[in-house]
Amino acid sequence: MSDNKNEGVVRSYSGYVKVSEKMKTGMLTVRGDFRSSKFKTSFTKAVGTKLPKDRKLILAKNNVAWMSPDELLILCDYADVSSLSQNLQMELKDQHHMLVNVSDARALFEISGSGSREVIAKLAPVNIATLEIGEIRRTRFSQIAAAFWLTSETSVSVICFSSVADYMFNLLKTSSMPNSKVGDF
Amino acid sequence: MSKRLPEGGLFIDRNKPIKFEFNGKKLSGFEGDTLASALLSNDQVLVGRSFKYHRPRGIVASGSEEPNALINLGEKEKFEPNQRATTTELFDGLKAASQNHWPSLNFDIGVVNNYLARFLPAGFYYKMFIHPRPFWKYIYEPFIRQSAGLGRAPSQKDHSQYEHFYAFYDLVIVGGGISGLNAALTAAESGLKILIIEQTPEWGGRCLVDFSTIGDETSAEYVSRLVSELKKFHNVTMRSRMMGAGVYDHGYILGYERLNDHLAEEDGPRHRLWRIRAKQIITATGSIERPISFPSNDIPGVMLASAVRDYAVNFGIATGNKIAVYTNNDDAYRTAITLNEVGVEVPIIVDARKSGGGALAERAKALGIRVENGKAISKVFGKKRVEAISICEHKDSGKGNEKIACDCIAMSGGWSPVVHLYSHCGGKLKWDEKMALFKPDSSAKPTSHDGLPFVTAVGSANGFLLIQEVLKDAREGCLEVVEASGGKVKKESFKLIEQEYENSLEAIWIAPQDADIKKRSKIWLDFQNDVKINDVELAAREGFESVEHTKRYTTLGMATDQGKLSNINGLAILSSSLGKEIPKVGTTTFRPPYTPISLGSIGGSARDDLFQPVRKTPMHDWHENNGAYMEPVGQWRRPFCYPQAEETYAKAVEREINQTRSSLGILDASTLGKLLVTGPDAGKFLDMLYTNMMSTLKIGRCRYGLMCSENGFLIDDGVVARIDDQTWLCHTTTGGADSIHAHMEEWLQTEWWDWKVYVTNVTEQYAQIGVVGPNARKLLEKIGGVDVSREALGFMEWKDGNLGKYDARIFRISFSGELSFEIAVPAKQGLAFWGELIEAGKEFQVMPYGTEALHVMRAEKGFIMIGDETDGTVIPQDLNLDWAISKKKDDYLGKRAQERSFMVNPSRWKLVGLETLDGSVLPDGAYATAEGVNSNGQKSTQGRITSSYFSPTLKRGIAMGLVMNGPDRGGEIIEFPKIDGTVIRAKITSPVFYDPDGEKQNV
Repeated sequence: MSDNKNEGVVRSYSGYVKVSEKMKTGMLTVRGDFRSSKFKTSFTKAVGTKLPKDRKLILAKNNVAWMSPDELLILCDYADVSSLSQNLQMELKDQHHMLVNVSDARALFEISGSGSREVIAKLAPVNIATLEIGEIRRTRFSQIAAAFWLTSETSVSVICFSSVADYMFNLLKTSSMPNSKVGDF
Repeated sequence: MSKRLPEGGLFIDRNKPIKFEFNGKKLSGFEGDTLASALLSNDQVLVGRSFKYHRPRGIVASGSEEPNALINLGEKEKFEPNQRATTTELFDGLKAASQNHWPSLNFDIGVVNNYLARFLPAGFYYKMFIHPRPFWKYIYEPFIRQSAGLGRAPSQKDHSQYEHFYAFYDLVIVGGGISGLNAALTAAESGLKILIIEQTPEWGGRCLVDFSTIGDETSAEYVSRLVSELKKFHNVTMRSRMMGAGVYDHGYILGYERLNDHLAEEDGPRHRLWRIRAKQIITATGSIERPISFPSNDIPGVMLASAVRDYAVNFGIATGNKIAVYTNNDDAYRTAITLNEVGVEVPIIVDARKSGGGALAERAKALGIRVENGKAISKVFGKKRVEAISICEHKDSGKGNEKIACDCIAMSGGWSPVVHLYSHCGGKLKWDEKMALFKPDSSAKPTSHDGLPFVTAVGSANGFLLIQEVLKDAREGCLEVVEASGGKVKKESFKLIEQEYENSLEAIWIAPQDADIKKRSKIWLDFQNDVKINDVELAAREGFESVEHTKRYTTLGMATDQGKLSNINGLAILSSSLGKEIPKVGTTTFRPPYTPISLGSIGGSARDDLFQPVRKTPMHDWHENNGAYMEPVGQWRRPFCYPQAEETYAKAVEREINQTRSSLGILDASTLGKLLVTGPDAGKFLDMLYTNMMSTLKIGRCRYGLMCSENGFLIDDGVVARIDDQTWLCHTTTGGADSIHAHMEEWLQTEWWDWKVYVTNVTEQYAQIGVVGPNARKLLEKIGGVDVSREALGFMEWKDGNLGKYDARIFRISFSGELSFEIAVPAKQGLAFWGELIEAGKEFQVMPYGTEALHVMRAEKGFIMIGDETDGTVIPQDLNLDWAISKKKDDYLGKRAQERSFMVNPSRWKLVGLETLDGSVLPDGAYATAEGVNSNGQKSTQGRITSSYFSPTLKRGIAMGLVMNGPDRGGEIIEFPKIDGTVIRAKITSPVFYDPDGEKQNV
C-alpha cells in the first residue's frame, strides 16, 4: 500500500523522481451490481468505506479503486486479503458477485518527487495536469496496460500485471533519467 | 566569394569560435552559426550534387525549405544522412560530408548524366525500363538501386535516446514569429492553457531581419518585449527548437523537439516527440520565398533574396562580393538595401515589373543602386559558381542584352504562405490572383468531430505579407480562436503600425517570357530532383493533366524537401501548358511531417529492453540463469529447451523427453491462460462457449473442452475445472488468455448481458508447474502434504491443499501421456516451489523440459495443438474430436456453422498420423500430392502436414496431418514432395503413436 511506509521495496531508482517497485501488496477484485443499494450496504459493512464514484479512488486504510462499472479493486496488506474476502463473502452471499485474490498477479510501483506527473506524461496518453488526488486512470504505459492514481501532489501509485513488472520498471527508470526533465508542469 | 563581414551578425558570438569539418577539411565558424552560414563564411558555396544529373548544388535558402544543402552528419553511431545544413546548428567538433557524388564533391563522375540530360526526360525511367520485361528484375533494378538515394544509410546502431511526451492544451500556436507571439499574447490573458512552439532557436521570425523598427521600438526590443511579456503568463508554455510536424484529426498535433542536436555532447534525450491534444490550433508558420524560373537558375550562387539578407543580418556574412538582385516584388529591395548598408556591392537590381517598385525601390535608388525595370536574367555564366549574368528585356529576350559581373544572385519570385499544417487535416486553399499565392480559405478551415473549425492560420501564413496586416490578422484571427476554445479576451482597439508603401507583385512564372526550348531546358523548378520547365511541359503534352500525376511522372516536389520551393512554380507551368487557370489545377496534397523527423523520435523509448514488453513468469530468471534457450510465445518468453554444455537444441529436447518418459520432468506452464467464471448462469454460459457440456461437470473434476467461433472453427482448447457450485476455472492456450477473456466479455456484454456471470483473468495470479513422468507422484509424496494417491486424486480430478509449505491446487491432468500433475501455487511462491521440486527431484534425476519437448510428447500422444493442427479453417470434426462435441445440447457457439454443407462435406481433410517409410522427419507444412492438376495448372493436393517431429521415444519421424478421407485410408502410402525435388513416402496411421490405451497416465 502506497501510504504504508514500512512496506518493503523490491527495487528502486532515483532519477529526477524516485521510482520504486513495492513488495507484493494485497489486492482483491470485487465484481457486483454497484447500483444495488443492498450491494452498497453489504460492501460498506464489510470493507468500512463507501463505493468509489466512477474513475475515483477512496484513499483509506484499505484503498478502494473503481476499475469499471462493475469492478472494484481493494488494496490492503498482503496478509489481510483472505479475511477481507471472507467478510465480503459473508455479507454478499445471497447476491451475484465475484471476489478474486489478484495480489500476486499485479505489481505496484510508486513514483515520488516533484516531476512525478511529468514522468507519467511521457508514457500514458492522459491529461495528467488536470488529474486530481483521488482519481484513478486505467490506461496504458507505453505498450502495456496499467492503472495509476496520485497519492499526493508529488507522488503517484502505478499498478500493472506482474509479468511485465520488469518492463514497467525500465520504462519508469528511462523516463526519469536525469537530464530528461521536460519542465512542462 | 562568400565571406564573413568584419562586423554584424545578430545570432553569432564572434568571441566564441567553433571548429568543424566538412569533407575532412578543417574549418571554423562562430557560436550561433548554422552549418550553412559557417560553410558560407568559409566560401564553401558548393555543398552537394543533385539527384539525377549530379549537377553542382549550392546553398539556396536559410531555413527548413532548403533543397540543396543536404549533408551526411556525424560519424559512426551518430551518423545521419540528409541533414539540412541550414537547420543544423554548429557545435564544436561537428563533422559533415556532402552527398551523392563520386569520387569527390568537386569532381563527380555521375555528372555524365548531366550531358545525357536530353536523353533523360521526364518519364524516362517509365518508358525505358519496361521492355524487355525480364530486364527489370535482373539488370535495371539492381543498377538503379545502386545509384538511388542521396545520403548513405547508417552502418551503426543509433546510440541516442528518444522519448515521447503527451500534452494537452486549449490552444497550440505553431510559429514563434511576430504573428505567433502576438497571437499568444492576445490569447494569454484569457487564461487558456497555451503552448507556442518555434522550430528555430530564436523567437521573432523574419522580423529582426526585415524591419529595423516596429512602431517606436527597434525590432529587437519589440521581440524581446513580446517574449518577456509572454513569459509572465503561467498559462503559456514556450518551446523553441520544436517544430509542428503534423496536424491530425481531433486536434491531435505532433511537436518535434530537438533537444541535443546543437550540442557537441549529448545530454539526455536527443529528440522528444510531443503528442499533443489541442482544442484549437493556430498556424503562424509564416511564408517561404519562391525562386524565379530563369535559365541556369540552379548554379551555385543563385540564392533566395531573403536568405542572402538572413545571412547578412543574422550571421554577418556576404554571400558574394557582387550580388545581383532579381525580383518581381518589392521585398527583395530590402536585400539590396541591407547589402548596401553592410558594404556589399549590388551591381544591379533586375526588376521584372515594367512599373518597378514602390518606396523601397526609391530608397535603393537613392543609395545609388542601379535598378532596371522590365528586365530578366537570360543567362548565367559559370559552372560551379555564378560568374556573371546576361540581362535582357523580360518580354523580348533579343533586346537590351548586357553582361554584368556578379558572383551571387539574390532572387525573389514572391512568397508562398506555409499552409502545410493548415492543410494536413483538410483545410482548403484559395488562389489569390493579385498576390499570386495560395492562402487558407477562411470559410473552409479544417473541422473537428463537432464540424467546427479547429485550425486557423494567421499572419503571413494566412496570406498577409505587409506587417500592419500581419499584426492585425494575428490578433483578429486569435480572438475568434480564443472564443472557440472557451476563453474570453477584452477587445482593445488595435494600433496599426506604419510601413512603407509597396508596389504589387507581378507573377513571373518563366523568365524571360519568350524563353525558347533551349532556355526552358535549363530552367530548374526542383533543384534536388532535377525537374526543369521542359519536363513539366512534356508531362502536360503526354496527357498528365492532374497535378498529382504530373508530380509522380516528373518527380517534381518528391524530394526530401517535398517541393517547398518548387511546387507553386511547377504547377503554374503545368497550368499554362494545359491552358487552365492555376486554381483549376490546384496543389498537390500536403502531408505530414512538415520536414523529415527522426525515426528515433517516432520510436521514442521503445528500443532495446523497451522495444516490446516481454512477459515473464515467476521462474523466468531461473530459466535464463540455467541456460534455457528461450522462444517467444505471444509476448512471453518460454524455454524451448535447456541445452547442457555443448549439446545441440535437438539433443537437449531428446534428453528432456527421454528423462521425462523414463523418470521425471518439470515444465513451467504458468503462461497457460486461467479464466475464472462465476455466477448463477456460469454453467449455461460455458455450455454455450464450449462444444461439450460443462454445466454437468462435478465439483473437483476436470474436463477437456473445445471452443469455436460463430463460424464453427476451433479457436481454443483447454482443461476446465469445476471449483464450486457457481464457479469454473477455464484453462486456455497461452496465446488465447487475453483473446478468450475478451471473447467471453464480448458475449456477456453484447448478447447475454442479462446473464449473471462474471469473468476474471487470473492467469498471472498463479505459477503453474507440470510435474510429469513415472516418478511424479513419488516426488510430490516426498515433498509431503496433501494425499495425491491414485485413490485420493484420480485422473482428471483436482484438489486444493498444502504441498510442503506451498498453497497448492493440484490438477491431475496429462498433456504428455505420462503420470502428470499440474500444480498451481500463488505466483509469489512459484520460484521457491520450482526450486524445491528441482532439489527434491534430484534423486529421480529430475530435468526441466521446454516447449519443444512438450510439443513432441503431445504429438506422440496424438494431442492437437491450437495453431498447429488448427489455422482458422479447421473444425473439431476435422480433427476427429466428435467425442468432445455434446449431442445433447440445443446450441453452442459454432453449432449451426458446423452443419453447413461445406462443413459436413465427407471429403474434408481429416486428421491422421503419418509415419515416413524411411524414418525421416517430414517438413512441417509439406503437401501430399494427388493425381492431376487444379484449375491453376498446379499439381493437385490431398493433404498437408500440421505437426512433424523426430520422436526420441519411437526413434523415428512422426507427423500429424490433414488428409482427404484420411481416417478411412489407414495403411495407405502417400507422397510428400520436398523443395529439393525429392519425395518422402509416408504411411497413414492413427495419430496416437504412443500408449494408445492411456495406461501410463492412469497409474
